[in-house]
Amino acid sequence: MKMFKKIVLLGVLVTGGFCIHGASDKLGFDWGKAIVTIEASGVQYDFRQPWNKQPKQILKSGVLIRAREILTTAEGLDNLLMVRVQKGGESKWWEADVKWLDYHANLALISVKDEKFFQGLKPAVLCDKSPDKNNLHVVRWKGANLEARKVEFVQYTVAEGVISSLNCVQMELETIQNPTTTSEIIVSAGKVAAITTGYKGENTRAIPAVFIRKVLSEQEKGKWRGLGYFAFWWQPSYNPSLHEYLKLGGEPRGVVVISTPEGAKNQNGLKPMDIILEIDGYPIDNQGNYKDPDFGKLILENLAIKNKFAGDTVNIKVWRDGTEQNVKYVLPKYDFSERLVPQQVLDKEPEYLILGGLVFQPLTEPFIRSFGSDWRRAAPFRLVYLNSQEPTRETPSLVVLSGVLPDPINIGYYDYRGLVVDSVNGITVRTMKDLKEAISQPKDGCHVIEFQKGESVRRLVIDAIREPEATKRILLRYGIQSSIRIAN
Amino acid sequence: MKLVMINNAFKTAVAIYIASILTCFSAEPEKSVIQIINFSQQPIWDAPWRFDTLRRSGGSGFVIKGKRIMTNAHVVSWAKEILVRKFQDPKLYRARVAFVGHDCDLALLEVDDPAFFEGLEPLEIGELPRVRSTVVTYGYPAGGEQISYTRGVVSRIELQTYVHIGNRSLLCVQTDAAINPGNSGGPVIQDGLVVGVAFQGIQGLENTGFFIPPPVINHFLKDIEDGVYHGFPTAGIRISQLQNPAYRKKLGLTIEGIGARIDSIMPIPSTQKLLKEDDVLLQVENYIVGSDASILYEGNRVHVAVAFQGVQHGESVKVKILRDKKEMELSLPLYVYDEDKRAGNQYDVLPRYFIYAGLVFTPLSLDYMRTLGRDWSDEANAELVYELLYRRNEDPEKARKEPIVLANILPHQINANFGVKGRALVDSINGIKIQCLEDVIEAFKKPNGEFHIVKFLPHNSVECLKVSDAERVKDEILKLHGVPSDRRL
Repeated sequence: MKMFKKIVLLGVLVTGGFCIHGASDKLGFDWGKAIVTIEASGVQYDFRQPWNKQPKQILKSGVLIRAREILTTAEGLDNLLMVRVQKGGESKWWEADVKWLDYHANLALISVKDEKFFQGLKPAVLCDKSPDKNNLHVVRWKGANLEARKVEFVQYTVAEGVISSLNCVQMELETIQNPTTTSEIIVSAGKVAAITTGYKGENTRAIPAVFIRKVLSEQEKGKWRGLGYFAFWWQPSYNPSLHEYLKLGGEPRGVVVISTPEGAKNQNGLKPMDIILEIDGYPIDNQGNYKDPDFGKLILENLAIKNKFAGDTVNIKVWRDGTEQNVKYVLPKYDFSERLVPQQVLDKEPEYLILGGLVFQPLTEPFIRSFGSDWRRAAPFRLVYLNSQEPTRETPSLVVLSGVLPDPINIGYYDYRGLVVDSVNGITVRTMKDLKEAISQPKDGCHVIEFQKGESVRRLVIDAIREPEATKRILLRYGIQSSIRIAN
Repeated sequence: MKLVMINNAFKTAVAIYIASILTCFSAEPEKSVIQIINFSQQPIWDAPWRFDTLRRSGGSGFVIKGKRIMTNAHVVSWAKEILVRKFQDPKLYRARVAFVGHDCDLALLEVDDPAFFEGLEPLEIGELPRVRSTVVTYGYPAGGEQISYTRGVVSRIELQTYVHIGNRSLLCVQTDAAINPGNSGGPVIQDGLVVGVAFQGIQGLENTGFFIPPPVINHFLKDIEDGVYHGFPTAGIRISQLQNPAYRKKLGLTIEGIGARIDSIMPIPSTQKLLKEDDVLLQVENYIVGSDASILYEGNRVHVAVAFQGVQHGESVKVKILRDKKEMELSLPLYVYDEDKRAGNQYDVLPRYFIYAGLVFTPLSLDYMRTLGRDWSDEANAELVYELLYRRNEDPEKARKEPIVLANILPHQINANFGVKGRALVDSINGIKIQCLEDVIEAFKKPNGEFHIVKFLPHNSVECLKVSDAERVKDEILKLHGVPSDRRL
């Protein structure tokens, strides 16, 4: 064991890292007193067989930021069974719990019940402005050693998160090799600069402390409202003819609103062909960027989360019909159900209903992803297409026949899967509740299930008289505890 | 599994051929087997005024009565020049396509020089061979210069996708006789008669080759008797198996194993008038329809679609159905359906296009989509794929007659600042909804004041052109990019 540590130490010396002991001066803070290891254990579901769950466990880093609150990312904290925290890299695990989390901000606060845990620990401070780009280190426990390694800043960018597709500002760093945990702590001059995410693309992405500070100060007020977003589509306006057509003189600037969603989210008064000139006083250039005082040039999407939360008003100056107008845009709350096909199903057991071996589920992205790592190609095209569509008043969500558990009652249907349901027994089905209601009304001893036009089959019929007995038999045969799981 | 065509793209020049002296007429079939060399050029679908590189490919054919050579459509597609050569004859003859059926992958060639047919006896078309019977293929496949023979048995007879067109399935015979690139169009012989035309294989499978059987060949030959090839008509019904007891009971079926269900009907008025969803198909012509949507055809269990393939465009098939638990007989007229032609591979007709101010507009097609690269069907292009392959059946009210894409932009100052760079579905121009290419031309004649406004799907992104600038430079752009004409309609 000792030998191993020595080798590690040598290795990090060669590659530019250093062991913390005695080096806290350089890092401006004794990080061993703030950085902890978090072990999160939970379950994950198999959306092919939504009644199945299996255990999952991940290691994360966290950093003590308030008297009893440890900051980390929200990744891996869904469907949680148990969370434990360790200090000093190798010692006892302490029972902990999640005090608050938000998947769109990708942040969480964890606390430990036992007061003794916090003895000897010292909260760290979050940067209140953009840190020195040339002085960034990742600090992490490697066994009982706290290792610090310099990291190279690449840029600030606004991008979709790992869990949520909400656009947020992110700090991009040259890829940090061999992470020991997800959510590693990036520090600068004695303060927390950012927390890395599990982003799998080029470079490492981290959530900047400036953003975290603002989210936490809102959270501290007690009533977390969630993050908002701009629920409209816009395009850059490179084309000077477009400005001329819209009678906007001067240098090309602003972006053009091209479509606004239907329904309640469009109570905000933006119209197609409005040119967005300013948002909250920040001038918008013709690519859709503004100059952020903390991060430099960023895409305007960030102004929906920059010190703003769902329900807040954003002042948008637009050019409409040849004049400037001010629009008060109330930020709608970003939620996974914003899309026709919800992007995530977290902290709830997946819903399903089995009727004579026909397995129905809400159409969700986790179900489409269950077609494998190549799901964008492997899943039925229509499902992938629907995943990019927006909900409408008539179709806020969809229900899918996800598969069939073969049994004599459903003979002839064994190969059916991934078919989007239109109606059951003549009743339109868009939610699992609709489905539950519809199957209580069979006609002439049959359940008639109609799929959406364009599916490979339009209709199937199942014996409603024999169905209860068959379902019972199927549950037994396939080892399923219940034929239905629908949230109230 | 991927079905592939098996014509032979020659990589090297044909070796000098030393012919033996032709003996006098003989009944040996190989004398009537022809080597075909096609010099072809395909259009570039996203730059439709240009042609791709000249391609040299080889295939086989055989002489049939009427001094014609039968071969595969894919052997002679996009031909600029076709050369044919007889068995052990050094001389090359020029040939041209007299008839071509891209749906059934068959073509007939004519040779202007009457000397070509001297001493050649036409081969006769035989019957559908029996499974397990032996057949011999004749042709000029890769791997050598001389005629090649392979022997095998008829492995199975089924409905199979004809990959040349891609979106049609016809009767097809599988054999274990080796069928290789270059065999395409060559005859498959049994007892001196042609029982098939070799045409495709399946990549990754061994000892499987496919040939076009006599019912399809004869349908093609009968079709052209009036001097025009129409094609195989389509019933326009999706037939689903009907094996679930509850569904069978609901539809009033009493005899087990018989009857398939009409699941949906394509937007074909003649069919929509006569048939309904959930009609049960009991019999087509003389074939009893099984509950797995199959019929017994010459001793082979094949998909019921084969029963509809015997008639010509405009003729009717007799069908017996069960509707509302009552048997009915009706005569269903069938017509060639080509509304979905852009969703299949297209041949020999150059793509339509219109160019305005460097913006290249062309109909959305499978051929165009392939220009987007191997991943053309990826999520990024989902909107185009949906429009091309799904919208017509799924959402007919919103389907456009001929969806138009901005395929490309010919760079020029006037369009240099466009955010849309092509690959975009055109929604409207100057407020006019674009249903076909002609609408594009008309719409540009009606500008929105001083401007042309072009909107794209799915999110209504918009581009704008100043009319005076566009009119001033539109011809100059064509000249700069070497485009001979602003349109092909």
